[in-house]
Amino acid sequence: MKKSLICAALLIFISCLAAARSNAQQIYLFSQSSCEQDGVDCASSIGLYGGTIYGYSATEVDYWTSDDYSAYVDGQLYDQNGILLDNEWDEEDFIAEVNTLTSANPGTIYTERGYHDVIARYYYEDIGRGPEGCSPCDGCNTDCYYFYDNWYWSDPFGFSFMNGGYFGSWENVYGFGPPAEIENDETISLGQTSQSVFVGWRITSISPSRGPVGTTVPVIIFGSGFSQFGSNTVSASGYGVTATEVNFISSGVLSANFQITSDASAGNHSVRVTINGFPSNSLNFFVQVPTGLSVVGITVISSSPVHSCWVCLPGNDTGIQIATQYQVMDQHGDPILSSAMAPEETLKNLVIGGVARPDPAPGFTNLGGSCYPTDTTTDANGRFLDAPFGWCAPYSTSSLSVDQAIRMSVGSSHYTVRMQSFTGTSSGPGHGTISNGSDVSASR
Amino acid sequence: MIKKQMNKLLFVKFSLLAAMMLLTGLSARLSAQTPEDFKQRYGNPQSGVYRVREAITAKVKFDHNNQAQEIVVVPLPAGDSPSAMSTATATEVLNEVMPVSRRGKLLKTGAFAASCVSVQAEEYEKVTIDRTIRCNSQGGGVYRLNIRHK
Repeated sequence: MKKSLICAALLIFISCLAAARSNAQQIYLFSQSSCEQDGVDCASSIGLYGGTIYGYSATEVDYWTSDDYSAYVDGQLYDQNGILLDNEWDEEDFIAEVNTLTSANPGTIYTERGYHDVIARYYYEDIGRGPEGCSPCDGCNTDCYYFYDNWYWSDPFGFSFMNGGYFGSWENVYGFGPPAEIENDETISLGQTSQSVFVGWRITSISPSRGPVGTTVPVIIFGSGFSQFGSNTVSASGYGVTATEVNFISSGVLSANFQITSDASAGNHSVRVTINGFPSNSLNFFVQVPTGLSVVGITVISSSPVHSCWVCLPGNDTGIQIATQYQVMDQHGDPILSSAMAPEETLKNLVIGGVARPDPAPGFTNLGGSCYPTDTTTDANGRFLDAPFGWCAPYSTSSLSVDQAIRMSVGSSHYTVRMQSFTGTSSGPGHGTISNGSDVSASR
Repeated sequence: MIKKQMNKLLFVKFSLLAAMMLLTGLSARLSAQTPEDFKQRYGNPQSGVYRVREAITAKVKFDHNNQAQEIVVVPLPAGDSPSAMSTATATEVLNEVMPVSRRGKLLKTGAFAASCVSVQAEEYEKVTIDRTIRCNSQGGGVYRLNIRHK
């Protein structure tokens, strides 16, 4: 498509200039290379099953020029080592064009070079001999002291004075003259165009493709074209993700550790593999930050046996205490499987039996370490227990309200994951309900 | 003989009187409630805060009658973790700043627990007392006393 558009534009351009024969004649030189895989441009990278490199070169003469010259092109497709992969030539009245192709391999630079000529149409033959009258004039007659048979090709626009040249991917050349005659050679070189395409290294997947802040995640990078002897440099965009201990496993597999700082930017980081200065395509690695909590389970804590730090005891048993297990979730609502998070809470606006009490925890304090078996950090699955939680009194009825905020601390970074208000009522000893109005609710 | 017994009786009376006077004085010290009382017992306050023990302070708000209206007793912070008082020390300080005799009859109690923190609430006729307690893994003990006159 791209090629067709360029050719159409060229024709229009040339047509517009056609009337300028009296000034100069124009020739257009063009080379292009591209990579396609399943109809998709794969110049930056190709899939494991490869793609195809297409080369195209053309020499195009305008209407007036074609009276005296043919267009000629020789298209050659090379790799970066100078190995010729394909070669085609063409000669036409107006447009000489060739297509070359080869299979694409990652980490390779392909270059399409077009060698552009015009071929003069008209000539005359000049036979010189001596002495006058020697015959036959075939050069074998010993009666002739000298004999020559030269051909002179007409170059009315003086293209032979251009001496060719190395151009970029395209060039317009003009024949400004003066007219010339070329001895024994009808081919006039106009120069060379070229265009290169780099087919990069390919990474097809990263496993795992996500990791929590404040952790080091061992990852496997799958792809193609990885180097056993060159440096495989793995980089991640954005702040807070660093690849270390990059190891070559095979040309299709690298291993690495992604060190994610506790304050790394949340969300996607573009990962690339760079070999010898050439980067691969990129794939996203998702940095998880604590964003919410989901309730895994709720247990009502029995009043018996008695534990010193639990407040529902025989004789003081009007109310309820619960143990709630939470799962820390990321921005997508997926669980964060990390033990590097410390749950902390504030407890404010405590009211027991209708009487306001001082804030139990006005500043954030760790949830762990109570006599209920809790830890100060999450377990390997990113879960933690909030226990005990509740109230008790020695009376026939009682009530509770309190506000709780929970955040997860990772290193020096803090992520608020929940704000909730609990209310509770009790009709007497051994009974009570408690709820946050949504996903935490229990009664006994 | 009788005179000797009289002298002995007088000695006992004076001893009792002296003991009563001593107890009265001691009681007066133990029931500190006015700014002067607090000052005599704990020295000059700094911004309304008295040093009630080496590492324990009491912030006292007085009402218009110069009677302590609200008292918050906290240990001085030590390091990053909140400091806590032992239960015995907390009770000792509580009895100094709010003697049992001034509290009235105990009406209600209740307790709230949330992970490592619990609040033990007592409501008396004249005051409410809240002890905020931490579990052993985070220092263990009472880290705040809130006393408020009704």
